[in-house]
Amino acid sequence: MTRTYNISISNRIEETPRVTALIENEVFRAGFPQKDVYDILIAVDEILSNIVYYAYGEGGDGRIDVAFLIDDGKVELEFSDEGVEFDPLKKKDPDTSVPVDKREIGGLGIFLVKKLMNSVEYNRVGQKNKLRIIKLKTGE
Amino acid sequence: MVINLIKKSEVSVLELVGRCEIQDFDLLSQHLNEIIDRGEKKLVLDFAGLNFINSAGLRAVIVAVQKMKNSGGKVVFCNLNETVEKLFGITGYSDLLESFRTTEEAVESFDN
Repeated sequence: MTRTYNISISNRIEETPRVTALIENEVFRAGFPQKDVYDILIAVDEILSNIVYYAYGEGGDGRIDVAFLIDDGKVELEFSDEGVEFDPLKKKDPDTSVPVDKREIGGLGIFLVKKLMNSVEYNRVGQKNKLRIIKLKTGE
Repeated sequence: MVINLIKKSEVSVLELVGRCEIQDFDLLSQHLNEIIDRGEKKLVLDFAGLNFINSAGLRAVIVAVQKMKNSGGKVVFCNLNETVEKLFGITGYSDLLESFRTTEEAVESFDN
């Protein structure tokens, strides 16, 4: 059975738990193992952080729309904002073989998203940034 | 996330409980900086109650490991769950991680 959901928040940190709580409840209810739920919540946290901090400039007001779909085998989430055009996938992956104190700052969040999800896709549609992620259910 | 600080003689044990998410970064950094600024040299980060940690939290933890090392101290870890262990692996931070299975083992590691 497929269920779909939509939720919109303003780009403020204190609003983000509304999104994570809904996703957590529904993904868990759909029978996904706890570790998948955690992977998804980490990805959601990283993506919302990026949008909250960077999409609308400092102090700028904007909306974040989150649409998601859950079926027996996967969760698909799409994050939309109308902020500055930004493709996080263009960011080079951090070189994890370099000593930590010599690494460039940044890029770690989206790197985690790519590693934890099965698919991550960015599209600029009109004035919107759309980031779509898919997590397949892990076998027990 | 809730953070508890427990003193076991010279060793500070910082327990992270819950999820380290977007809104928890300041709290975590503040706790770590206070411990380092007080000149403490022996810190255990106890992740028994930690479900997961985001990239900002991981970075705060690693910065603390390095600061502590630079001041002649040491940070060790204990009770990592599967998810947190995986995150340290993905980010390449595992090499910096001296990790123990139990809090007792972590605390006692400073005796040697």
